[in-house]
Order: sequence, then structure tokens, then C-alpha cells
Amino acid sequence: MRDFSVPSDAGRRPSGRLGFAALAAAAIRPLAAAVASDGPRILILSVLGLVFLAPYIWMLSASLKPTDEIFRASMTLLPESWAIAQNYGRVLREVPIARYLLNGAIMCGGILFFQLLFAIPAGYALAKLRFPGRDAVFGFVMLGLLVPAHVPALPLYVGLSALGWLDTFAALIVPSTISVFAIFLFRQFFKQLPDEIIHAARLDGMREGTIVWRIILPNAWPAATAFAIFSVVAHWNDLFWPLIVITGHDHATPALGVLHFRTEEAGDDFGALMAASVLMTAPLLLAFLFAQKRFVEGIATTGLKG
Amino acid sequence: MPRPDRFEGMQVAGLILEDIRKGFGSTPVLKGVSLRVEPGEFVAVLGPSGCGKSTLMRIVAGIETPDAGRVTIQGRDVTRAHPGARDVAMVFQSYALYPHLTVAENIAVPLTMRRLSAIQRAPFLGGLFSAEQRRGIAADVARIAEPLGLTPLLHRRPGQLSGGQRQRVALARAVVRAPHVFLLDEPLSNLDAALRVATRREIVEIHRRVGAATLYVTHDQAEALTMADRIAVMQGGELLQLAPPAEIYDNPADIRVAGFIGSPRMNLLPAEARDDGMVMLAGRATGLLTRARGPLTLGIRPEAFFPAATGWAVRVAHSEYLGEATLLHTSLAGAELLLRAEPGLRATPGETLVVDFARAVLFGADGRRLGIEAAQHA
Amino acid sequence: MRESSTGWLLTLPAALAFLLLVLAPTLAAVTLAFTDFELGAGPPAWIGLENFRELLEDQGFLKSFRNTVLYVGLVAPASVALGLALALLIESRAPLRGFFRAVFFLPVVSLTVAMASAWQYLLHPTIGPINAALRAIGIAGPNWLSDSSTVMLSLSAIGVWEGAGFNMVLFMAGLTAIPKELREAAHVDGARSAWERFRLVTWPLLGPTTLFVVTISLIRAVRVFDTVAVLTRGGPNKASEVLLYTMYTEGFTFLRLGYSAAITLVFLAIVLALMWVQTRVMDKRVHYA
Repeated sequence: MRDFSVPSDAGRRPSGRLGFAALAAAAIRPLAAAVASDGPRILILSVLGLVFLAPYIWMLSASLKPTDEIFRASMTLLPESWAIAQNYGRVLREVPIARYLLNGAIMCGGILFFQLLFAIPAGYALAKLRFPGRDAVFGFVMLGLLVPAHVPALPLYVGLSALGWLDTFAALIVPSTISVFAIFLFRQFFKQLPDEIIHAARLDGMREGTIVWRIILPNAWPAATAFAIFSVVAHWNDLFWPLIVITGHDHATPALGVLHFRTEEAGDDFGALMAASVLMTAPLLLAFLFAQKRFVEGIATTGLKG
Repeated sequence: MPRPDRFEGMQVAGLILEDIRKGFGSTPVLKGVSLRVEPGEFVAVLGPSGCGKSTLMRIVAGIETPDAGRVTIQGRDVTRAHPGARDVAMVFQSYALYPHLTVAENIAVPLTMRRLSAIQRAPFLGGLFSAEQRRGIAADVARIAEPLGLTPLLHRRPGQLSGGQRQRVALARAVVRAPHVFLLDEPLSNLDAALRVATRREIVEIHRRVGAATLYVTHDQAEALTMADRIAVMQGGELLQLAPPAEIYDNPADIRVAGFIGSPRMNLLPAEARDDGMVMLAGRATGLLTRARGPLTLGIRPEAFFPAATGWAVRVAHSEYLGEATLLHTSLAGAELLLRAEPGLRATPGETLVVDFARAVLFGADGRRLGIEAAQHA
Repeated sequence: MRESSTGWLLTLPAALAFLLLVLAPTLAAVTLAFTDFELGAGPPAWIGLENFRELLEDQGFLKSFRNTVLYVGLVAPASVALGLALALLIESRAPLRGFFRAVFFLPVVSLTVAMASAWQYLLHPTIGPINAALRAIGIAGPNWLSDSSTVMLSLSAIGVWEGAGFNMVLFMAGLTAIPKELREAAHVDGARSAWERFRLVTWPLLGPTTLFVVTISLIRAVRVFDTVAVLTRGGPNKASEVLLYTMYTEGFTFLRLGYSAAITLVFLAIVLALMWVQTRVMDKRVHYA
């Protein structure tokens, strides 16, 4: 800990694509070298890191152990007799994992699609076009940023129930299709695009619709990926809204699936419960490990603006 | 596209601006500007920043709409027409290249928009219905890119190009469709000095090839003087003078033109015309006779002097050697007078020079140019 | 004019969706709070502030409110401090920067419900590794999630674990925005120790980021729901009731929508107040324009 106030860019390791194995291998070799010169810093971070990883480590460990071994509460991580087939087998037999993951993907994909569909044109119009009422619309966007999604939940539930849409994908997707945050984010992003490019496009003969399709959309990618990561992480992990509108298994999201399995089936079978948790956590976690940099940047840029 | 007007004997003016007025909020930016650019003519709009020259250009392009006045291109009133329907091409100060398209695609955009229908432009399938047009467009792009040295860069994106290369892509995109009116908004301001001189020539050559009525906005008098057929000097939203470069330099019609052109600019000294018309400087007769009476301004170009010992002498107080010339700081009638000597003449501090009033110009109290009736040696 | 009609055309879908899915339901929620609306119990009646009077006497709600304040008071400061410490430690030198950033960021992208299950196992009174470790050194560990004296503490620890990595990433973005020259200038000007340079340059320039991270952490903490719903369901004996969970049970279990809406309004008021304080402090203190 010689100097914790000077971040330097020198030697910043490329941290993009790392699998589990590569991550571990990459960690151990430099670890030895680093501890020698950089001892206290590495030591503190390693201890804290172990605490942060503890739930993952023990989750993985318990998912490999037979029930009696778990109940012995031994402090060894590796099981004496492996129970992979027993635990994971039970989960795969009893829990429609693929169904939940697919439901989650449909929900997140549907939400993201509509969010972008609404937000990109609106963000462009608010950033670059002059039209009467623009300031009022932007005022509503700023106002909307203040209201957490939990506030309109009750009336939305009543409305969906009146429409008979409860326990459908529509109930999962529709209420989240409009994101004022996305509109705000894209407006800020398009503001940085030089006006001259849009003027050039008009001179080159493009009409307003063509400009959106040919100039704005292709240039929205950096903001769109950042927002996509933010949106998918938020909705994939959300429990509040699916818990309200979904009752059965048919449309249950991964979060609901784990909850159902925990309360209805698993009981005290921690091995199977941990196996289910591993399987449900894995997809997003792997996506993160493969595109670490994009995730961190996406969350940081959207986080700082939200 | 057939253009009969180019082949007929009587030519319709390329671009006519009539009494263009524009204000932003309560500040007037253009106070009634009229201008006529013939086909094939190169007019530079010269003025300090904030004089309204960029707004004028944006009104021609259709990016801004004037509050009053009329814009006519090839005899057609386009004052309120869409920018894309004016047959105007423009090179922007920042080049405004589409960052997500390659050089070839950037140059092709104006052609794609004009020659292909919406269906033919559609992704994937559109290509099936427009193979022939697309080949034509590719050929045109290649033809434009070649003389500009862009052929090896056609597949790069703007982000991978140097400033000079981007500039040439912007030029290529503007001229590829042979526009009737060609606009350039300070196109050289983002280039370094050496590249600027080379590109000046390139732009003039492109202009000759395209033959469009060209409007070139700049604040750099060297660009205006070297490139333009005529210069329109603007200040404070007004067009002060529209004339060929030599005319602007030698015979400024307005004191503000005189104060802007030349490096260093013309010395402007307060003077007075006696009742008999003799121009007096600090109570001494200059030998210049005018019809005006009362206070006026006497303009002396930096080179209007000769080394001699007789006449109205000024003493060199300080000199600055510039290589191609020497600047001489002197004073005349209590005011500072900056002179510029050719390399051959090495005036050192303390030496005396004689001001050549025969080459002086006069401006009235309203700033307009005054005639000189006679010049006697003082 | 062309431009204005295009502007409206592009904004209209978003505006309609906003009206239908955000503005109208939010106003409806505000209105509901002043009625006795219960799902399936006939037409609602306007009862004015009755719901709010009831809230003030409802021991369950008051407990829930106090628990939320406690949770926010524990989680927000701890996750901000830990996030800042991690960001400074990780950014200070190159070795293993990417690796540690990934480790501490993992909870942000992990399925909360699944990780709550993992925590349940970790904190299990008899078979959980934490109590097993405590037993090994001769301490009888408490019943973390089922004892009313430790349950909020346990939930808060999980909250810190979830939020620190998020704050760390925000702080890292703030740190990279500080010009290196400033720290080098501080070095040249004689700020010898890392601590002095932190006090002189890093901390003041991190001001806007810190204020922002504090606000967002407070708001995220007020929104605690998942871990309570999965691990304790407000128990034991309402010892871990929090605002959103109470709102959820009142509204969607007991179907007392009017009463639930009143709780929602309390929640909204807290969030708005936090944002108001943020902008006030932002205007006054931490801008160096």
C-alpha cells in the first residue's frame, strides 16, 4: 500500500475475456510475484476477496456434497463422497431450469427491445430536434427519473388483472417497456453527436426518418450496449415484480424459480438447493466473466448518470 | 441529370441572395445581405468571427431559415426548401463525416440518396434490385477518390484518418454529385499551416473542375485573397464590400474593410479637412485635397513610404525583422504608425523615412471612402 | 415545419407509454392512498388521511419503518466506505487490478434470490459454515436469521456485500476522471505521504462522485426487498419487516390496496427527500466549476 492515491495506466492488464480457469491461472502466477513487492495491498484485497467469494465457494461446495455430509457441518470444502449426480440430477429432474432461463431471456429481451424502441427515437428528438413542447416532455422525463418503479406497481397490477393479463409474459414485460432513464441516457449521448453530421445528412438528401435509421441508430451502439447491460442485470435479478404478477411455473423467471424450488421442494435438501442456485446464477455470471470490461463500463456509465 | 441552363447562351445566376435578414432572439445577426454568385464563380465571404458569415452560409444550405429575404438557386426560389432539395453541397468546418461509414460509403451517401429508391436502399434485399445503380455509384466514387489520393483509404473509417485525409473525404462527398452550389465553411481551419497552403490549391482546382457557384466562408484573409474571384467582406451582419481581391486591398470602400485587410493592416489616423479642402494632420498640411470638410480618417498602407530625408519624415523607433520583411514602429502626429519594409531595405532604429501621402486613402466621418481631388507633395 | 412534426412523431410512442405506464399509475397510486380500496371488496370510498392515521398507530408499520431506517443507516455508510476503500486499493497499483475488480463486482451481477439461498446456508445456525467456524474456536454462534436481535444485522451484512462492488465501480470511474497532473503537482508541492495526497487532491475532487454514490446507496438501501422476501419474510415476529415488504404483503397478500398505496407514498416521500438533499448539497458544496 505504498500509494493508494495514484492510479496509473501503466501495466493495466487487459481484463476482457477471462474464463473461470483462465481467471484462476492468471491469478496465481502474478500473485506470487506481486505479493513480494506489493504485499500489504494484495493481502488486504485477498482477505476481503475471500470474504466476498465465500457465498460462491460454499454454494459450490455444498452443491457437491451429499445431505448427511452437509449436516455434519464440517469445514472441509471438498466432499468426502461426491454427490454431483444426486444434487444436480434432482434439480434437473424436478426443476424446469431451461424453462426458467428461457422465460428470463424472453422477459429481458422483450423489455430491452421495447425500451430501446421507445427511448432511442425520443432521446434523439429531445437532443437534436426543435419542436414545440420539447421542454415540457423533457421536464416529464426528469420527473419520471425521481419515481422508483415500485410506486406505480399497485395500479399496474390492478390494470393487468382487469385485462386478464396476470401470469403472462405481457404482465412481465409491458410495465417495464418505458424507461425514462433510457430516454435521458440517449438524450445525453446524442447531445454529444455534432449537429453538423445531421446537417450534412440533410444536405446529402436524407429525410428525417432516414436520418434516424441510417445515422442515429448505427451511432447509438455504445450507449445501447451500456444500457442493455444495465437493463438486463436489473430485470434478470428482479424479484419484486415477477412475484406480484406470476403465480405458476409456466412464466416464472429464474429468480422466481429458485424461490419456488426453495419453498416448495427443497426443504432441508441444501445440496439440491445450492445446485439449483449454481445453475441459475451461472448464465449471467459467465456472461460477465466473458465481457467483464463491458459490464463494468456499462454499469459505471449508466450508474453515474442514473 | 440534364442541366440545360449550362449550355444555353443566357446564363441564370448560380446563387442569388436578396436582402437576407436573420436574428436570434433580439440580436440581429444578418441585417439585409444581398449577394450574387455566378455559375463557376468563387466568392469568399470574409469577416471576423460573429459577423454573420456562417449564418449566411447556413441559410444558403437550408440549415437555418431567414426571417426575411430570398434565396434563389438556378432561378428557383429555395428560401424554404429542404436542404436536400436545393442541389447544394457543403464542406463543414468539422468535416461532419459519418463516423460509422467507410470512406467509400461516406462519399457514396449523396448518390445513394438521389439515385436509389427507398426500397433499393433497404438492407440486404435492396441490393438485389439495384445492382446496376450500385455499380454506377461505386464507379463514381472511385472516379472522385482517385485524384484526391483517397483510393487506398476507401475502406477505412473516418476515425482512422488524419485531419487532412478527413478534409479530402469531406470534399469528395461534397463534389461527387456535381452540385450547382458548393459551400465551404472554414474548411482549412482545422489543418496545420503547411497543409493549409497545399489544400488551398487543391480546393481551387476542384472548384474549377466542378464549375459550381462556390461560397467560401473564412476569417483568414490570406485564404480569401489567394483563392477567390471576388471577396465579400462582412462585419456586424452587413456586407461591406464585394469586389475582386486586388480591388478590396487597394481600394477599400469602407474604413472597416481597410481595418481588416492587410497584414499588418492599414494605419488609420484621425485628420481634418480645412475649409479649402486641404487635409490637415495634427495642424500640418498633407498636400491632399478633398471635397469633404471637417473631421475624417487618413489611411496609410504599411508600405506607403520611401527612404528619403526630405518631406514629412518619421523616425524609426523600433524594428522587427520577420525574414521576408521588416516591421518598423514609428509615430506620426502623435499616433502610432506601423510600416513594413521589403527585405532589401534595412531600416534601423533612429533612421528617418518619408510617408508617401500620394498613396494614402481618405474615409469620411461615416466610414465611407472619400475621393481625393489632388495630391501635391507636402 | 418538418422538423417539429418529426420531433413529435419520434417522441409520441415514448410519451404515450410514459403516460400509460408511469404517469397515470403513479397518480393513481397517490389517489389510492386516500381511499379504502380493497381488491374484490366493492367500490372504494374516499377516506382522506385515514390510511396515514392508521399507519401511525400500526405497530407493524412502525416496526417496518424503524427497520428500514436501521437497514439504510447500516448498509449505506458501510457499502460506501467499503466501496471507496476497495476502489482506492485496487486502482492504486496495476497488479491484479482486473482480477480483484471482477471479484468484488460479482455480487452485482449475481441472481439475488440464488445468492440469498447461499447466504441462508452460510448463516444456518447448525449446519452453516460460519457457525461451524465459530464453534471451532469455542463460540456458540447465534441463530443469525431467526433471532430478532441479529436478523437485521445479518440482512445488512448481505446488503453491504451486494452493494460495495457497485459503489466501487462508480468510485473507480470518479478516480480515473481526476487528472494525474494534480496528484503529481501535490507530490511536487510536498505532500509526501499517500494519505496527505488523498486529503489534498483525491478526496476533494471525488466530492461530486461521493455525494452521488451516497445518494444512490441510500436509495438502493431503502428499496431492500429481495433478501427479506427470500430469507425471512419479515420474521421472526416482524423483526425484519421493511417498507417495501410491508407494502407488498398489505397490497398483494391482504389485497388492502389503499393502505398499501399509503405505504408506497411514504416510500416515495423518503426517496424524493433523499434526492432533494442531494441536489441541495450538490449546489452548495461540492462543485468546483
